[in-house]
Amino acid sequence: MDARDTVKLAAVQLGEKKVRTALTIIMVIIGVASIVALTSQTAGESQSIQKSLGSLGPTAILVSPSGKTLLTSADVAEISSLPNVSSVTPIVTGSGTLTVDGVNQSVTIVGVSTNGLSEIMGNSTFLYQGSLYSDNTTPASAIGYDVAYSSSTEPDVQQVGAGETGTIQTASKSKIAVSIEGVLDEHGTSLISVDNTVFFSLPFAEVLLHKDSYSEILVKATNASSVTALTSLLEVVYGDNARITNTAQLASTFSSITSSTTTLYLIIAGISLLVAAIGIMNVMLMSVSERIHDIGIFKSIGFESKDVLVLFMLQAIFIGFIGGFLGLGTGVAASYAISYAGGLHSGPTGAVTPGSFTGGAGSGSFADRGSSGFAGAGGGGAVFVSSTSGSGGGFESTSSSSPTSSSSSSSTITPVFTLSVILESIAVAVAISIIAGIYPAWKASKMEPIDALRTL
Amino acid sequence: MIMPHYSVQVRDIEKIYHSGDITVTALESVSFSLREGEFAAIVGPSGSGKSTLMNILGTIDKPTNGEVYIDGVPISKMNGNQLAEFRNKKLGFIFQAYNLIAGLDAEKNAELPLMASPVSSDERKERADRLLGSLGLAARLKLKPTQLSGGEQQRVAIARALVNNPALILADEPTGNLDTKSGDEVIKLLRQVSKDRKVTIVMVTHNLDITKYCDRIIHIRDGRIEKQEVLK
Repeated sequence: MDARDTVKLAAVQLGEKKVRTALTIIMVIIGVASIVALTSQTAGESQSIQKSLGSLGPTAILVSPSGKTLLTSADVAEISSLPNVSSVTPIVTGSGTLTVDGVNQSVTIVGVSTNGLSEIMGNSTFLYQGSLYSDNTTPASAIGYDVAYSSSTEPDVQQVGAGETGTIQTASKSKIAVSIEGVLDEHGTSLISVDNTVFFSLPFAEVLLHKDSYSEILVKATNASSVTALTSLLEVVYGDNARITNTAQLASTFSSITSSTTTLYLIIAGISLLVAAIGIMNVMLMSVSERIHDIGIFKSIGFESKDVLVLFMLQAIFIGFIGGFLGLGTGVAASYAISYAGGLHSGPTGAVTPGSFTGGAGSGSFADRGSSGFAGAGGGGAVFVSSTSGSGGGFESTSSSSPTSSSSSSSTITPVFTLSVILESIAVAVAISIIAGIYPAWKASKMEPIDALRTL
Repeated sequence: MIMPHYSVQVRDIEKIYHSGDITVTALESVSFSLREGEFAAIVGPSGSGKSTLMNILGTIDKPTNGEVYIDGVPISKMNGNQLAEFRNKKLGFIFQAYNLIAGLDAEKNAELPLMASPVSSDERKERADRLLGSLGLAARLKLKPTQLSGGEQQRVAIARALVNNPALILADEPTGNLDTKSGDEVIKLLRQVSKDRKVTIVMVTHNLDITKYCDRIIHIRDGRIEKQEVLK
């Protein structure tokens, strides 16, 4: 039988049962869309994490206090004296509320030297606007990009700019007037919160946050090949008193988390595809028994078994193909919608705060991101890391930061659609429809014309 | 040995059904021959074996013993696909319930047998249109079976049976679902077709009234040929 005729006949038969065909196609769409949406999300997530880790640099090592250990300038001096050390940046962190022109927003507070800030940014030029603060006790700050563009309704309108002044209030209730000297470039998801952070000089932040020790120390090795050696050395020096983490370890932790979420997602998507396959088979079996009479006619006027087989297989393949394409489109749309809503990823900030990193605010920051059911590998991953370490510098207040926050969700995780995912999802849809269609089609083709015609 | 001008030769066929321990003989030593262009009616009471004989002539059932030659070709040796091809080239079917494909319009239904053969779609369409036109359906080509009257549907079925220029058309109670007037029209058409196109037609019917248009009437009772009448 001519291929075009077969296609036409198959289409005619499907078209006769429009609602049923549509419902079956929807089953396939759901299966394929969930594969596409979930894998593109995890791919985007892991790409974004890798990029962020990259911006911190492959040579970065973070020393966080564990238990009752306090990190002080003595530690900075000691670490500086170790071999293969390129820079040592002490950091204090906390959280508070920044008020400018009567508008409150919850922010992360980081105290770091201007040189240290460039180590965090992984770049020597990172100013979006204005200038940096001085490394003294002046109440001057530089704010992250999201602090400047804090409105969720008008994400393109800058709310706070360089040269303005405001007040900062911390958990210790002090309310201090501060000047905003500059705005930093957008940084994206990072190990150390940047975009939703107000940066101060180290001495000022120590006063503001009532700290006499550092929250963590960012160490950079001279080159990537010496990172492992330096990490081991720091582990020997600190033993149980600090947690030593380097970028490579984090990268592998994150990637193992994303790969296990990917597996989980694929299982979920696979189940919906299985349901779709059963649906197709059910519909095809129904179709065959409804069309026994037609099959009898086809066979009595000279159609061969293989013509009938192909006719029914084609119907199943149509369902798979149409469902695959529409599912791909739906999946892409859903994935962007998820990204836009910030659902699967971070909540208010795209960054992992130092608090959650060191563990003090771990569960708190998880709650922050409570808007996301999946919590994302970004936020959730960091919590996972920090939960193994002891209580950090006491940033419990981080947990209260976000509900009042008006900062926009600028998590810049873009779903990643690889050609292989696109082709595979359609191939999978067609494959399941073929598998589901084989038995009914075979059953139809084996029917004797006389038996088929007798069934009236 | 086989006379070439016979388009159907039935040689001593027998059909026995086994159902558990019970053996039913549906046909017993049935023999007859039909000339090219002959219009034959098979009549007899229900359960006499008419339908079994039709199915055997239609090659969708096989006799237990004996042989059937259609257009000189013995059909007992052919396998399923060969039979399908044979049916496609040599046979046309007309059923009591018309048996059109509901999703296809009149034109496509008439084309259907040619879809299983290597005939170009243009030629297919032309042949179907010409046949439907000659059967008075020129204005109904694009209508679906449900939009056609019973008589019209049966005429589409006749076009479908004729489209492959068969040697033999098998009509199973072709007027059974039609009123007298439409039934008469259908029979007259079949009469016309067999004469004009030299196609042999075997028709099963209960209606002795319509057998007056036939050349030959084969009476079957209890699986045997009771008598054959040759008219004119």
